[in-house]
Amino acid sequence: MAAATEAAGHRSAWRVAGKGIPVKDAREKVTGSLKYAVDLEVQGMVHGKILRSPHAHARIISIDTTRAEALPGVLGVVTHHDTPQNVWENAWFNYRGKILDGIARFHGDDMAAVAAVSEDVAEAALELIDVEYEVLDAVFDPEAAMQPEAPQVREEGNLRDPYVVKWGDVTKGAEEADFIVETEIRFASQQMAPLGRNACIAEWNGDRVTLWTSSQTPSELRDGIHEAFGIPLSRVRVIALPSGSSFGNWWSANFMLITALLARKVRKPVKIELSNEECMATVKRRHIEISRGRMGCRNDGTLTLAEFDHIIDNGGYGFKDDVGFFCVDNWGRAEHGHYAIHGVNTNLLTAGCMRAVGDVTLGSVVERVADMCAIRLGMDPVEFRLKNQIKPGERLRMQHSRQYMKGSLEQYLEGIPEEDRQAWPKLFHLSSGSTDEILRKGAEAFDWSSKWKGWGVPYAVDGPRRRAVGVGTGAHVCGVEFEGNVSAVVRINPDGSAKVHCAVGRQGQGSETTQAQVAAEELGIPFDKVEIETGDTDSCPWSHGSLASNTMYRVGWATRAAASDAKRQLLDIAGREFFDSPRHELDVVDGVICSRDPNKRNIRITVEEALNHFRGTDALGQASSITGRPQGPMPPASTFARHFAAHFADVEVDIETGEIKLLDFLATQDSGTIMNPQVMKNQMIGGAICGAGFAIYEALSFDDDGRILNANLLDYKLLRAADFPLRGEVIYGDSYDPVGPFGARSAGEAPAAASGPAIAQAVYNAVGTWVDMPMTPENVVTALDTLH
Amino acid sequence: MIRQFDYLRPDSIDAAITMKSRHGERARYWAGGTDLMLQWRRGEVMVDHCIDLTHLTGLDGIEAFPGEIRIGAMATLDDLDRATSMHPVMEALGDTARLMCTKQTRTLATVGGNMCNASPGADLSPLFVALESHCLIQGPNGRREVSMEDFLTGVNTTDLGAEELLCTIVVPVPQARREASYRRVARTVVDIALVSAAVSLTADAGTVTDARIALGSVAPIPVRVTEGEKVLAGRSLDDIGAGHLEEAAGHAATVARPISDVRAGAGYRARMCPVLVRRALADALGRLGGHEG
Repeated sequence: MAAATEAAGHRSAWRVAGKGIPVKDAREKVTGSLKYAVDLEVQGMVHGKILRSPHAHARIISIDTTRAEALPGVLGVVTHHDTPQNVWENAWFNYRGKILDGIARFHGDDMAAVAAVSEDVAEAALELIDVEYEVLDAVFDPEAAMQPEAPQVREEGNLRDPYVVKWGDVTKGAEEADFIVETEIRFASQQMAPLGRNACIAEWNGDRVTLWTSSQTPSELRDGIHEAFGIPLSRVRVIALPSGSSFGNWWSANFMLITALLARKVRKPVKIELSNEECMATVKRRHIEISRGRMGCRNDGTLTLAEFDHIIDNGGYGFKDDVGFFCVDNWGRAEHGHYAIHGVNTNLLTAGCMRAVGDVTLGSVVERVADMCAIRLGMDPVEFRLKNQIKPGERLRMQHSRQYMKGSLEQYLEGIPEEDRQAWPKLFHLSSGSTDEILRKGAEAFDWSSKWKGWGVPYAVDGPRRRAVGVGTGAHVCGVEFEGNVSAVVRINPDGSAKVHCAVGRQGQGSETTQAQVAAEELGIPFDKVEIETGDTDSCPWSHGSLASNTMYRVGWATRAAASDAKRQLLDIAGREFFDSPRHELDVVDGVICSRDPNKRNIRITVEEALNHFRGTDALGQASSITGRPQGPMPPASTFARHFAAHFADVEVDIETGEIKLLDFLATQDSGTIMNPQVMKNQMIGGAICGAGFAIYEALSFDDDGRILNANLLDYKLLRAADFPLRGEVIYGDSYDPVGPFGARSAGEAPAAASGPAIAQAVYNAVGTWVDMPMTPENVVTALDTLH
Repeated sequence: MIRQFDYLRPDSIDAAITMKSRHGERARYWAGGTDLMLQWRRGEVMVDHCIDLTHLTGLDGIEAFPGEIRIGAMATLDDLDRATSMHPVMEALGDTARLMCTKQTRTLATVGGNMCNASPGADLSPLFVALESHCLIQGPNGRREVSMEDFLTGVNTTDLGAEELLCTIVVPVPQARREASYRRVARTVVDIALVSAAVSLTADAGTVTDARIALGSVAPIPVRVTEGEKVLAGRSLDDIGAGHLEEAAGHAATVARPISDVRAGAGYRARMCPVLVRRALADALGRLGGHEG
C-alpha cells in the first residue's frame, strides 16, 4: 500500500499523526467517571462467588449443594455436573480447559459457583457446599514436572512439544569461537499485579448472551464463550470495558465464563467481582522460567554461536509451547545457533503472557551471556551491542511463523496476489529499526562514555555504597497472526464525523487515542470528529486485541486501511458530484474536500456538505453511512517486524545491606514513527518500571502446597513512582516502518525487556558479580558472599 | 467482611472506657482505623461495637513538659512528622514517621494505634524503647504507667487490659544532650521494615552517660542489646572509635531471634542487625560531636 513508498519526510505535513494529543478519556479518568467493569451494574442483577480448591491437585469425588441452595437468598449453584464439557482456549494458549470439570489443578482453582441476592449471601453459601476431594500428588517444580514419572497435571500430559529454531551448525560455531561462556538463571514468577480489580456481568436473553467485562481481547473472549458453550458466535456479544493496568492479566479468564454459566442457570444477569487477592492468585501470572545458554565469541568480538534452552511453567491451564524469543534474534548475527523452548504444566496458578513474555526472562539470559563475552574481551557493552545486534534487512533466525491463520504461512501466502507480496518487506528478514541508532543517541545523552569505567568498576565509592552504570537492550514482536488477521471498520457519518470500530484493549496504553489518530490522519478530518468503539464485538470486527504488541502495528494497519477505503468511497462521491474528477486527484484536508492540484478547479467543500447534498438522490444509502474496511491482504508481521528498546541505568548498591537504589534511568526506543509522543513516553517509562520491578523485587512466593503467600500489594512489592528516578526525557529512534500505519511500529513490550538487563549490568559493574533476579537486598548480599 | 455493628461516640475518655467495659471483647476503639479496617475486612477481628475516639479532646496533642514530651495516643504519624523541631529526639521520631506508609495514611494513622497494633515490624516501637518511653494508660480502676518495653508483650499483643485505653506516650528528655537514630532495611519507598535498629545516646560533659539500643522486626517485640549498650556507656565521646561501634553492634547478632517469612530470611535479618546498629550509633554519635559519627 501507499505506506510502503511513503517517505519519512511526509511527517511534517501530518496534522494528527505524530502529535502528543491528550488521550481521549483523560477527563473521565482524572474525574473518576470512566467506567470499569467493577463500576457497572445492570437492572435485576444478582451476585456470584466462586468456590475455590483448597488443594493444588485434587479430584472431586462428591459435591453436595443442597445446604447451599437451601440458604435464603441463594438462586442457584453450578458445579461440573451442570457445565458443558467443551474445551475453550484463551488467546495464544494462555488457557486451555473446561469451565468446570471437577478437577483442581492449582490451589484456588475454580470448583463451583453460587449466585445469590448479595455477595454476602453468595459467600456464606460457599461454605455450605459439601465437597469430598480425592487429593492427588502435585508437582510444582517445572523440571520435576518434565520427568515421565511426575504427576500429570493435564490429560494431554505435562509436556508440550518443544519449539525449536536452528541455524548453521552449532558444532562449527563452537569450533570457530575463541572462547565460550555460559550461564543458567532460574527466574521467579512475576505477577501482573493489576491495581484495579475486575468483574464480569453476564446476561442471557433467550439463547443469546451478553458479557460486560474489562478485557484486552474482546474478540478472543467471544470465541471462548462460543467454544465453551457450543453456541454460534452470532449469539455471543462481548462488551469489553477499559481494564486499567493489565499487562496480560485481563484477556479472557475462566471467571468470565463461570459468570455466563451462572447467569444461564439462574436466568438473571449475574455479576462476579473478584477480590484483590483473587485478581492476584487465581487468574494468571508470568511463567516460572529456567534458562540456560551459551555463546561463542572470537577475540575480535564477533559472535559465532548462540545456544539457548528455555523452560516455561504453564501452571494448571496454560498450554503454551513458546514465549518471546525475539531477544535471541536481536543477537542473532552469530552464524550458528539453536534455541528451544519447553512448555510444561505444574500445579501452580496458571501462567500466561505477561508484558514482553519471554523477552524479559530469556532476554535477560541472552543479555547476560553476551555481557559475559564482552567482559572476557574487556569491551564496552554499548560497542558490543552495536557490533553484534541485528540491523535492518538482516536475516531473522526464526524461520517459520506459527499456526498462521490456524494453518501454515505457506497456505496463507498461496492466496496472496504476487503484486501485493512484492510490496511487502522480505519475509524472515528484519524490515526496519534496530538498536543501533537508539544505542548511539542514548549513550550520548546519558554521558555513557564518561560514566562507564570498565567491567565491574564502579564510578564512585562512598563507604559501603558503590555507584555504576549499565546498558540493556530488549526486543519484541509487533503483533502475531496466530489465530487470524485483524480487521477494523471506519464509518464516515453524513455530518462529517467518523467512527472507528476496532477491538483493542484500553489498559492505559492510549489505544483509543492512537487508533483514532491513525484514522483521522488518513481520512483528513479533525481528530475531535473521530470517535472510537473498542470493545463491542457486535460492531468491531475480529481482532487479536491488545496482546503481543499488536495494537499499533496490526490493528493500526487495519484501521488505516479501513479509513483509506472509506476515504476512497467519499472521494468517489465527491469527484462525481462536485469535481468531475477521478478520486486520485482529490484529497481531504481538515474536513474539507479539495483538489490535490491547487491550480485546478478551486472548489472546496466540506465532507458534511458533500454527503448531505448527495443524500437526497442517494437511492442506495451510500452516503448516509460510508463504511470502509481493509481491501488488501495484511502482511505477516511476525515474520519481519520488531520493536527495540535500549535502556541506561545508574544505580547505587549498598554492599553491606544489599539495597539497590536507582539513581538515574534513560529509556530509548525504536518504534518507527511515534504516533503520539505523550502516550509513547508513558509506555516506555511504564515498561521500564515493570522490568525494573521484576529485576529488583517482584516475585510471587509459593508455599510447599503451591499456595501463593503474597497475593497482596503489601508483600508483593511493586516499584512506586518515587522508587524510579525522575527524568523527563526519553529518546525515540527515527526509523520509518514500511508497513505500519504512517511508519509506526509497536511500543509496549520491548521497554519491559530492556530495563532488567540494564539494571543487572549496572549492579554487576557496581559490585563485581552477577546477581540473579529478583535482586532483593538479601539476594544481593548472598551473591556478594560468593566473591569472598 | 464487615457486617452490622453499633457505632458509639463517647464524649469523654471515661465514657469510652465505660463503653468498652460494657461491650467487652467485640468492642473496638477506632483511632485512625488504618490497621483495624484491614483486619476487620479480612475477618481477622470481629467488631460488634465500634467506639469512635476521633473527636475526643485531650488525646491528640504533642506537648513539651519539663523533662518530657507527651505524645497523645491520637496524635497522627503526620503530627509526629511536624513536631520535629521540639527536641532532637523528636527529630528521630519524625524521620521515622516519614518512612512509614504514605502521606495519605499518615494523616489518619495514630501513634497510639500503631503501638496498640503491636506489629513486630513496627518502625516506632524500637525507637520508643531506645528513647526510654513509657505509656500512660487509663482504665476503669484509674490510671497507670508502664514502660514501652513492658507495654509490648508479643505479636499484636500488649499489656493493655480489655477495658483499658492507651492515652499518652511519654518520651523523656533529659537535661543532658540526647540524640537518637533509627535505621532500617526496606524494599520500596512504601514498605514495612524487614529489619531495623534504633539507638539513643545521651552525653553529659563529653561523656556518654546512657546508651540504648533496640532492634525491630527480629523478634515478637523490640529487643534491647544491653551488652552493646555497656560498650559505650561511660566512655568519653572523643574516645569512641570505630572499633567500639563495631563491638557494640556485634552484640546485636547474638540477641536477635528473627524468623524467615515472605519478606526476608532469618539469616539476612540477623546479619543486618549489627550493620544497622553500627550505622544508627554513628548517626547519633555524629550529632553529639563524636569522631566516628
